[in-house]
Amino acid sequence: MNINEYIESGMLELYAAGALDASERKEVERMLAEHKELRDELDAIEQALENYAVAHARKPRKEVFDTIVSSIKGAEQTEQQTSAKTVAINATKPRSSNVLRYMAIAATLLLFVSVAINFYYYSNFHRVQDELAELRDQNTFLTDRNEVIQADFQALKTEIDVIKSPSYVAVTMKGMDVSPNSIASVYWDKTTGRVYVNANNLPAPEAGKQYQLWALKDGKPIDAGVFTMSGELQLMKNISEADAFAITLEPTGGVPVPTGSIYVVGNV
Amino acid sequence: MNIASNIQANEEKLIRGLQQQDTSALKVLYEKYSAALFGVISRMVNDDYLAEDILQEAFLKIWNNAGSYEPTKGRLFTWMLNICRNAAIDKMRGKMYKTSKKTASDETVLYENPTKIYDDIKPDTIGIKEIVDKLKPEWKIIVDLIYFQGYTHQEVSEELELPLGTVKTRLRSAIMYLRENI
Repeated sequence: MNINEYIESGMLELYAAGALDASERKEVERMLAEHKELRDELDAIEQALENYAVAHARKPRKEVFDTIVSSIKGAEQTEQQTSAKTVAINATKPRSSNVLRYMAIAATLLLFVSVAINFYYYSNFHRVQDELAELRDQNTFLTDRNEVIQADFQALKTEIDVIKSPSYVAVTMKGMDVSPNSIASVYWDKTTGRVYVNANNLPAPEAGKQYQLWALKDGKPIDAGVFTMSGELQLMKNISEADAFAITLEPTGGVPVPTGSIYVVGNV
Repeated sequence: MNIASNIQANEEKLIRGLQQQDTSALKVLYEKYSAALFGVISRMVNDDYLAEDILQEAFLKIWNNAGSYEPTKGRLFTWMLNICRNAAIDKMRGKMYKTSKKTASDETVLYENPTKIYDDIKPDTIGIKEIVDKLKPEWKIIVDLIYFQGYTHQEVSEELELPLGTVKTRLRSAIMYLRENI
Protein backbone atom coordinates (compact mmCIF):
# COMPACT_ATOMS: atom_id res chain seq x y z
CA MET A 1 0.00 0.00 0.00
CA ASN A 2 1.49 3.31 -0.99
CA ILE A 3 1.13 6.48 1.05
CA ASN A 4 -1.71 7.96 -0.97
CA GLU A 5 -3.73 4.78 -0.73
CA TYR A 6 -3.14 4.74 3.00
CA ILE A 7 -4.30 8.35 3.28
CA GLU A 8 -7.40 7.63 1.24
CA SER A 9 -8.24 4.54 3.31
CA GLY A 10 -9.53 6.86 6.04
CA MET A 11 -7.41 5.22 8.79
CA LEU A 12 -5.84 8.52 9.79
CA GLU A 13 -9.27 10.08 10.30
CA LEU A 14 -10.39 7.16 12.45
CA TYR A 15 -7.16 7.47 14.40
CA ALA A 16 -7.49 11.22 14.89
CA ALA A 17 -11.15 10.99 15.92
CA GLY A 18 -10.39 8.22 18.39
CA ALA A 19 -12.33 5.40 16.72
CA LEU A 20 -9.59 2.76 16.79
CA ASP A 21 -8.82 0.08 19.34
CA ALA A 22 -5.37 -0.26 20.86
CA SER A 23 -3.86 -2.63 18.27
CA GLU A 24 -5.18 -0.57 15.35
CA ARG A 25 -3.73 2.57 16.95
CA LYS A 26 -0.33 0.86 17.29
CA GLU A 27 -0.36 0.04 13.58
CA VAL A 28 -1.16 3.65 12.61
CA GLU A 29 1.53 4.95 14.98
CA ARG A 30 4.04 2.65 13.30
CA MET A 31 3.11 4.11 9.90
CA LEU A 32 3.28 7.64 11.30
CA ALA A 33 6.74 7.06 12.68
CA GLU A 34 7.93 5.95 9.23
CA HIS A 35 6.31 8.58 7.00
CA LYS A 36 6.52 12.32 7.41
CA GLU A 37 3.72 12.76 4.81
CA LEU A 38 1.36 10.81 7.04
CA ARG A 39 2.27 12.96 10.02
CA ASP A 40 1.52 16.13 8.02
CA GLU A 41 -1.77 14.67 6.80
CA LEU A 42 -2.69 13.65 10.36
CA ASP A 43 -1.90 17.13 11.61
CA ALA A 44 -4.33 18.64 9.08
CA ILE A 45 -7.02 16.13 10.06
CA GLU A 46 -6.53 16.84 13.74
CA GLN A 47 -6.60 20.56 13.09
CA ALA A 48 -9.98 20.17 11.35
CA LEU A 49 -11.38 18.11 14.23
CA GLU A 50 -9.99 20.58 16.72
CA ASN A 51 -11.83 23.33 14.91
CA TYR A 52 -14.95 21.23 15.04
CA ALA A 53 -14.53 20.90 18.81
CA VAL A 54 -13.89 24.62 19.13
CA ALA A 55 -17.14 25.23 17.23
CA HIS A 56 -18.90 23.35 20.03
CA ALA A 57 -16.92 24.90 22.81
CA ARG A 58 -18.53 25.79 26.11
CA LYS A 59 -16.62 27.75 28.68
CA PRO A 60 -16.61 26.02 32.05
CA ARG A 61 -17.18 28.14 35.17
CA LYS A 62 -14.21 30.01 36.53
CA GLU A 63 -14.17 27.98 39.77
CA VAL A 64 -13.23 24.86 37.80
CA PHE A 65 -9.68 26.01 37.17
CA ASP A 66 -9.31 27.16 40.79
CA THR A 67 -10.35 23.68 41.92
CA ILE A 68 -7.78 22.12 39.59
CA VAL A 69 -5.01 24.39 40.90
CA SER A 70 -5.96 23.81 44.53
CA SER A 71 -6.08 20.03 44.08
CA ILE A 72 -2.61 20.19 42.45
CA LYS A 73 -1.36 22.24 45.40
CA GLY A 74 -3.14 19.89 47.79
CA ALA A 75 -1.43 16.94 46.15
CA GLU A 76 1.89 18.78 46.38
CA GLN A 77 1.26 19.53 50.04
CA THR A 78 0.43 15.94 50.72
CA GLU A 79 3.60 15.06 48.91
CA GLN A 80 5.53 17.59 50.96
CA GLN A 81 3.93 16.30 54.13
CA THR A 82 4.82 12.81 53.12
CA SER A 83 8.37 13.87 52.42
CA ALA A 84 8.33 15.90 55.64
CA LYS A 85 7.23 12.76 57.44
CA THR A 86 9.97 10.89 55.69
CA VAL A 87 12.39 13.58 56.84
CA ALA A 88 10.98 13.32 60.35
CA ILE A 89 11.37 9.57 60.30
CA ASN A 90 14.85 10.00 58.91
CA ALA A 91 15.52 12.58 61.60
CA THR A 92 14.57 10.14 64.32
CA LYS A 93 16.57 7.38 62.73
CA PRO A 94 19.98 8.93 63.46
CA ARG A 95 18.86 9.36 67.10
CA SER A 96 18.12 5.71 67.51
CA SER A 97 21.26 4.86 65.60
CA ASN A 98 23.10 7.32 67.89
CA VAL A 99 21.92 5.31 70.85
CA LEU A 100 23.12 2.22 69.09
CA ARG A 101 26.42 3.93 68.34
CA TYR A 102 26.88 4.91 71.99
CA MET A 103 25.98 1.40 73.04
CA ALA A 104 28.50 0.07 70.56
CA ILE A 105 31.17 2.46 71.87
CA ALA A 106 30.33 1.51 75.46
CA ALA A 107 30.44 -2.16 74.58
CA THR A 108 33.79 -1.69 72.86
CA LEU A 109 35.17 0.16 75.90
CA LEU A 110 33.87 -2.54 78.21
CA LEU A 111 35.48 -5.09 75.99
CA PHE A 112 38.82 -3.24 76.19
CA VAL A 113 38.52 -2.95 79.98
CA SER A 114 37.61 -6.61 80.19
CA VAL A 115 40.56 -7.56 78.00
CA ALA A 116 42.86 -5.40 80.14
CA ILE A 117 41.58 -6.97 83.35
CA ASN A 118 41.84 -10.40 81.84
CA PHE A 119 45.37 -9.64 80.74
CA TYR A 120 46.22 -8.32 84.23
CA TYR A 121 44.78 -11.37 85.94
CA TYR A 122 46.28 -13.67 83.37
CA SER A 123 49.76 -12.23 83.89
CA ASN A 124 49.19 -12.29 87.66
CA PHE A 125 48.09 -15.86 87.35
CA HIS A 126 51.26 -16.64 85.44
CA ARG A 127 53.39 -14.81 87.98
CA VAL A 128 51.70 -16.70 90.81
CA GLN A 129 52.05 -19.93 88.90
CA ASP A 130 55.78 -19.24 88.45
CA GLU A 131 56.10 -18.38 92.13
CA LEU A 132 54.24 -21.53 93.07
CA ALA A 133 56.53 -23.62 90.87
CA GLU A 134 59.53 -21.94 92.46
CA LEU A 135 58.17 -22.61 95.92
CA ARG A 136 57.45 -26.17 94.97
CA ASP A 137 61.01 -26.55 93.73
CA GLN A 138 62.27 -25.00 96.95
CA ASN A 139 60.03 -27.31 98.91
CA THR A 140 61.31 -30.35 97.02
CA PHE A 141 64.87 -29.14 97.52
CA LEU A 142 64.28 -28.64 101.23
CA THR A 143 62.60 -32.01 101.53
CA ASP A 144 65.52 -33.61 99.73
CA ARG A 145 67.94 -31.69 101.92
CA ASN A 146 65.93 -32.76 104.93
CA GLU A 147 66.16 -36.38 103.82
CA VAL A 148 69.88 -36.02 103.30
CA ILE A 149 70.26 -34.37 106.67
CA GLN A 150 68.04 -36.98 108.23
CA ALA A 151 70.15 -39.71 106.62
CA ASP A 152 73.37 -37.97 107.71
CA PHE A 153 71.89 -37.54 111.17
CA GLN A 154 70.82 -41.17 111.25
CA ALA A 155 74.28 -42.25 110.17
CA LEU A 156 75.91 -40.02 112.79
CA LYS A 157 73.47 -41.21 115.39
CA THR A 158 74.32 -44.84 114.52
CA GLU A 159 78.01 -43.99 114.74
CA ILE A 160 77.51 -42.25 118.07
CA ASP A 161 75.31 -45.08 119.30
CA VAL A 162 77.99 -47.55 118.28
CA ILE A 163 80.78 -45.49 119.81
CA LYS A 164 78.88 -44.76 123.03
CA SER A 165 77.42 -48.27 123.34
CA PRO A 166 78.88 -50.28 126.28
CA SER A 167 78.43 -53.51 124.30
CA TYR A 168 80.87 -52.30 121.60
CA VAL A 169 84.60 -52.64 122.06
CA ALA A 170 86.64 -49.92 120.36
CA VAL A 171 89.86 -51.23 118.78
CA THR A 172 92.34 -48.66 117.57
CA MET A 173 94.60 -49.87 114.76
CA LYS A 174 97.98 -48.13 114.38
CA GLY A 175 100.01 -47.58 111.22
CA MET A 176 102.62 -50.13 110.17
CA ASP A 177 105.79 -49.60 108.07
CA VAL A 178 103.89 -48.97 104.78
CA SER A 179 101.92 -46.14 106.31
CA PRO A 180 103.17 -45.29 109.83
CA ASN A 181 100.89 -42.21 110.28
CA SER A 182 97.69 -44.01 109.42
CA ILE A 183 95.12 -44.79 112.03
CA ALA A 184 91.80 -46.64 111.92
CA SER A 185 89.18 -47.87 114.36
CA VAL A 186 87.01 -50.95 114.67
CA TYR A 187 83.89 -51.16 116.86
CA TRP A 188 83.00 -54.72 117.65
CA ASP A 189 80.03 -56.15 119.59
CA LYS A 190 81.19 -59.47 120.90
CA THR A 191 77.67 -60.74 121.67
CA THR A 192 76.12 -59.95 118.29
CA GLY A 193 79.33 -60.14 116.21
CA ARG A 194 78.59 -56.80 114.54
CA VAL A 195 81.67 -54.96 113.27
CA TYR A 196 82.00 -51.31 112.15
CA VAL A 197 85.14 -49.86 110.64
CA ASN A 198 86.19 -46.23 110.52
CA ALA A 199 89.23 -45.71 108.34
CA ASN A 200 89.49 -42.14 107.18
CA ASN A 201 93.18 -41.39 107.07
CA LEU A 202 94.47 -44.37 105.09
CA PRO A 203 96.23 -43.39 101.83
CA ALA A 204 93.94 -43.41 98.77
CA PRO A 205 94.16 -46.88 97.21
CA GLU A 206 95.61 -47.23 93.69
CA ALA A 207 93.29 -48.27 90.85
CA GLY A 208 92.15 -51.89 91.02
CA LYS A 209 92.89 -52.07 94.74
CA GLN A 210 90.62 -51.96 97.80
CA TYR A 211 91.20 -52.11 101.53
CA GLN A 212 90.07 -55.28 103.31
CA LEU A 213 89.47 -55.78 107.06
CA TRP A 214 90.65 -58.89 108.80
CA ALA A 215 89.95 -60.29 112.23
CA LEU A 216 92.84 -62.23 113.74
CA LYS A 217 92.15 -65.17 116.01
CA ASP A 218 95.17 -67.05 117.26
CA GLY A 219 97.28 -65.54 114.45
CA LYS A 220 94.74 -66.76 111.83
CA PRO A 221 93.12 -64.07 109.61
CA ILE A 222 89.30 -64.10 109.19
CA ASP A 223 87.78 -62.07 106.33
CA ALA A 224 85.63 -59.18 107.59
CA GLY A 225 84.92 -57.69 104.12
CA VAL A 226 86.13 -54.87 101.87
CA PHE A 227 85.22 -51.20 102.37
CA THR A 228 85.40 -47.86 100.58
CA MET A 229 87.00 -44.64 101.76
CA SER A 230 83.72 -42.93 102.61
CA GLY A 231 84.80 -41.39 105.91
CA GLU A 232 81.89 -42.96 107.70
CA LEU A 233 81.46 -45.97 109.93
CA GLN A 234 80.89 -48.95 107.71
CA LEU A 235 79.17 -52.13 108.75
CA MET A 236 81.35 -55.12 108.01
CA LYS A 237 80.85 -58.92 108.13
CA ASN A 238 80.00 -60.40 111.55
CA ILE A 239 82.92 -61.58 113.54
CA SER A 240 82.35 -63.94 116.50
CA GLU A 241 85.86 -64.20 117.92
CA ALA A 242 88.96 -62.06 117.47
CA ASP A 243 92.23 -61.14 119.25
CA ALA A 244 93.15 -58.34 116.88
CA PHE A 245 91.99 -56.50 113.69
CA ALA A 246 94.10 -55.52 110.65
CA ILE A 247 93.62 -53.84 107.26
CA THR A 248 95.48 -54.92 104.12
CA LEU A 249 95.38 -53.53 100.56
CA GLU A 250 94.03 -56.23 98.24
CA PRO A 251 92.70 -56.46 94.66
CA THR A 252 89.16 -55.00 94.31
CA GLY A 253 86.50 -57.34 95.67
CA GLY A 254 88.81 -58.78 98.27
CA VAL A 255 90.57 -62.10 98.69
CA PRO A 256 89.99 -65.14 101.01
CA VAL A 257 93.50 -65.01 102.38
CA PRO A 258 95.51 -61.76 102.85
CA THR A 259 98.15 -61.20 100.12
CA GLY A 260 99.02 -57.48 100.41
CA SER A 261 100.90 -55.44 103.00
CA ILE A 262 99.30 -54.71 106.33
CA TYR A 263 98.53 -50.97 106.70
CA VAL A 264 97.17 -50.86 110.24
CA VAL A 265 96.78 -53.34 113.09
CA GLY A 266 95.43 -53.21 116.65
CA ASN A 267 94.74 -55.69 119.53
CA VAL A 268 91.35 -56.15 121.13
CA MET B 1 3.88 27.96 7.57
CA ASN B 2 5.39 30.46 9.98
CA ILE B 3 2.27 30.52 12.10
CA ALA B 4 2.11 26.72 12.13
CA SER B 5 5.71 26.38 13.31
CA ASN B 6 5.03 29.10 15.86
CA ILE B 7 2.11 27.13 17.23
CA GLN B 8 4.33 24.04 17.27
CA ALA B 9 7.00 25.97 19.20
CA ASN B 10 4.40 27.29 21.65
CA GLU B 11 3.03 23.80 22.23
CA GLU B 12 6.50 22.45 22.94
CA LYS B 13 7.02 25.29 25.39
CA LEU B 14 3.73 24.51 27.11
CA ILE B 15 4.61 20.81 27.36
CA ARG B 16 8.01 21.64 28.83
CA GLY B 17 6.30 23.96 31.30
CA LEU B 18 3.92 21.19 32.37
CA GLN B 19 6.75 18.71 32.70
CA GLN B 20 8.57 21.19 34.95
CA GLN B 21 5.37 21.50 37.01
CA ASP B 22 4.89 25.17 36.08
CA THR B 23 1.29 26.14 36.95
CA SER B 24 1.45 29.18 34.68
CA ALA B 25 1.91 26.78 31.73
CA LEU B 26 -1.16 24.92 32.98
CA LYS B 27 -3.09 28.18 33.06
CA VAL B 28 -2.17 28.99 29.45
CA LEU B 29 -3.15 25.50 28.40
CA TYR B 30 -6.42 25.70 30.30
CA GLU B 31 -7.36 29.06 28.85
CA LYS B 32 -6.58 27.85 25.37
CA TYR B 33 -8.30 24.47 25.41
CA SER B 34 -10.68 24.08 28.35
CA ALA B 35 -13.74 25.43 26.51
CA ALA B 36 -13.30 23.06 23.57
CA LEU B 37 -12.65 20.11 25.90
CA PHE B 38 -15.56 21.02 28.16
CA GLY B 39 -17.80 21.25 25.08
CA VAL B 40 -16.96 17.67 24.19
CA ILE B 41 -17.23 16.34 27.75
CA SER B 42 -20.58 17.99 28.43
CA ARG B 43 -21.93 16.47 25.24
CA MET B 44 -20.79 13.05 26.41
CA VAL B 45 -22.27 13.11 29.90
CA ASN B 46 -25.24 15.53 29.56
CA ASP B 47 -24.61 16.82 33.06
CA ASP B 48 -22.64 20.04 33.53
CA TYR B 49 -21.65 19.31 37.16
CA LEU B 50 -20.39 15.89 36.24
CA ALA B 51 -18.71 17.39 33.15
CA GLU B 52 -16.87 19.83 35.38
CA ASP B 53 -15.69 16.99 37.63
CA ILE B 54 -14.46 15.11 34.59
CA LEU B 55 -12.69 18.19 33.23
CA GLN B 56 -10.93 18.65 36.57
CA GLU B 57 -9.88 15.03 36.71
CA ALA B 58 -8.69 15.18 33.13
CA PHE B 59 -6.58 18.29 33.77
CA LEU B 60 -4.99 16.63 36.79
CA LYS B 61 -4.10 13.69 34.55
CA ILE B 62 -2.75 16.07 31.91
CA TRP B 63 -0.67 17.79 34.60
CA ASN B 64 0.66 14.53 36.00
CA ASN B 65 1.23 12.74 32.69
CA ALA B 66 2.58 15.58 30.54
CA GLY B 67 5.81 13.60 30.21
CA SER B 68 4.05 10.79 28.34
CA TYR B 69 2.82 13.03 25.52
CA GLU B 70 4.57 12.20 22.24
CA PRO B 71 4.22 14.86 19.51
CA THR B 72 4.90 12.30 16.74
CA LYS B 73 1.66 10.51 17.62
CA GLY B 74 -0.53 13.56 17.22
CA ARG B 75 -1.39 17.06 18.31
CA LEU B 76 -1.48 18.13 21.93
CA PHE B 77 -5.20 18.86 21.72
CA THR B 78 -5.95 15.36 20.46
CA TRP B 79 -3.94 13.87 23.32
CA MET B 80 -5.81 16.02 25.84
CA LEU B 81 -9.16 15.21 24.29
CA ASN B 82 -8.38 11.48 24.50
CA ILE B 83 -7.68 11.91 28.20
CA CYS B 84 -10.98 13.80 28.66
CA ARG B 85 -12.90 11.23 26.66
CA ASN B 86 -11.43 8.30 28.63
CA ALA B 87 -12.13 10.09 31.92
CA ALA B 88 -15.74 10.61 30.83
CA ILE B 89 -16.11 6.97 29.71
CA ASP B 90 -14.70 5.76 33.05
CA LYS B 91 -17.18 7.98 34.92
CA MET B 92 -20.10 6.81 32.83
CA ARG B 93 -19.19 3.15 33.28
CA GLY B 94 -19.23 3.63 37.04
CA LYS B 95 -22.56 5.38 37.14
CA MET B 96 -25.93 4.37 35.84
CA TYR B 97 -25.15 5.95 32.53
CA LYS B 98 -25.73 2.64 30.85
CA THR B 99 -29.46 3.33 30.90
CA SER B 100 -29.19 6.85 29.60
CA LYS B 101 -26.60 5.73 27.05
CA LYS B 102 -29.27 3.67 25.34
CA THR B 103 -31.38 6.76 24.83
CA ALA B 104 -28.31 8.75 23.87
CA SER B 105 -28.42 7.30 20.38
CA ASP B 106 -31.60 9.25 19.91
CA GLU B 107 -30.40 12.57 18.56
CA THR B 108 -32.95 14.68 20.41
CA VAL B 109 -31.77 13.33 23.77
CA LEU B 110 -28.12 13.50 22.67
CA TYR B 111 -28.16 17.27 22.63
CA GLU B 112 -30.71 17.83 25.34
CA ASN B 113 -28.76 18.60 28.50
CA PRO B 114 -31.01 18.28 31.57
CA THR B 115 -28.56 19.97 33.92
CA LYS B 116 -27.39 22.72 31.63
CA ILE B 117 -26.14 25.50 33.91
CA TYR B 118 -24.99 27.97 31.29
CA ASP B 119 -25.36 28.61 27.60
CA ASP B 120 -22.99 27.61 24.86
CA ILE B 121 -20.43 30.29 24.23
CA LYS B 122 -20.04 31.72 20.76
CA PRO B 123 -16.78 30.54 19.20
CA ASP B 124 -14.25 33.29 18.76
CA THR B 125 -13.87 32.60 15.08
CA ILE B 126 -16.95 33.96 13.37
CA GLY B 127 -18.32 31.58 10.79
CA ILE B 128 -17.05 28.28 12.16
CA LYS B 129 -20.42 27.48 13.69
CA GLU B 130 -22.16 28.21 10.41
CA ILE B 131 -19.74 25.97 8.53
CA VAL B 132 -20.17 23.17 11.06
CA ASP B 133 -23.91 23.54 10.89
CA LYS B 134 -23.71 22.97 7.13
CA LEU B 135 -22.22 19.49 7.66
CA LYS B 136 -24.46 16.85 6.15
CA PRO B 137 -26.45 15.22 9.04
CA GLU B 138 -25.36 11.70 8.00
CA TRP B 139 -21.73 12.81 8.26
CA LYS B 140 -22.23 14.83 11.41
CA ILE B 141 -23.76 11.93 13.37
CA ILE B 142 -20.68 9.83 12.64
CA VAL B 143 -18.24 12.58 13.67
CA ASP B 144 -20.24 13.23 16.83
CA LEU B 145 -20.54 9.57 17.85
CA ILE B 146 -16.81 8.96 17.38
CA TYR B 147 -15.28 12.28 18.35
CA PHE B 148 -17.73 13.43 20.99
CA GLN B 149 -19.08 10.13 22.32
CA GLY B 150 -16.00 7.90 22.11
CA TYR B 151 -17.54 5.23 19.89
CA THR B 152 -15.22 2.99 17.87
CA HIS B 153 -15.92 2.65 14.16
CA GLN B 154 -17.24 -0.87 14.78
CA GLU B 155 -19.66 0.44 17.39
CA VAL B 156 -20.84 3.18 15.02
CA SER B 157 -21.30 0.61 12.30
CA GLU B 158 -23.45 -1.51 14.61
CA GLU B 159 -25.31 1.44 16.10
CA LEU B 160 -26.26 3.00 12.77
CA GLU B 161 -26.40 -0.33 10.90
CA LEU B 162 -23.94 0.90 8.32
CA PRO B 163 -21.07 -1.05 6.69
CA LEU B 164 -17.63 -0.28 8.18
CA GLY B 165 -16.46 1.09 4.81
CA THR B 166 -19.30 3.59 4.76
CA VAL B 167 -18.45 4.78 8.29
CA LYS B 168 -14.87 5.28 7.19
CA THR B 169 -15.82 7.12 4.00
CA ARG B 170 -18.33 9.40 5.69
CA LEU B 171 -15.92 10.32 8.50
CA ARG B 172 -13.23 11.09 5.94
CA SER B 173 -15.65 13.16 3.85
CA ALA B 174 -16.78 15.12 6.90
CA ILE B 175 -13.23 15.91 7.89
CA MET B 176 -12.29 16.83 4.31
CA TYR B 177 -15.21 19.25 4.31
CA LEU B 178 -14.04 20.82 7.57
CA ARG B 179 -10.47 21.08 6.28
CA GLU B 180 -11.56 22.82 3.13
CA ASN B 181 -14.02 25.22 4.68
CA ILE B 182 -12.54 26.37 7.98
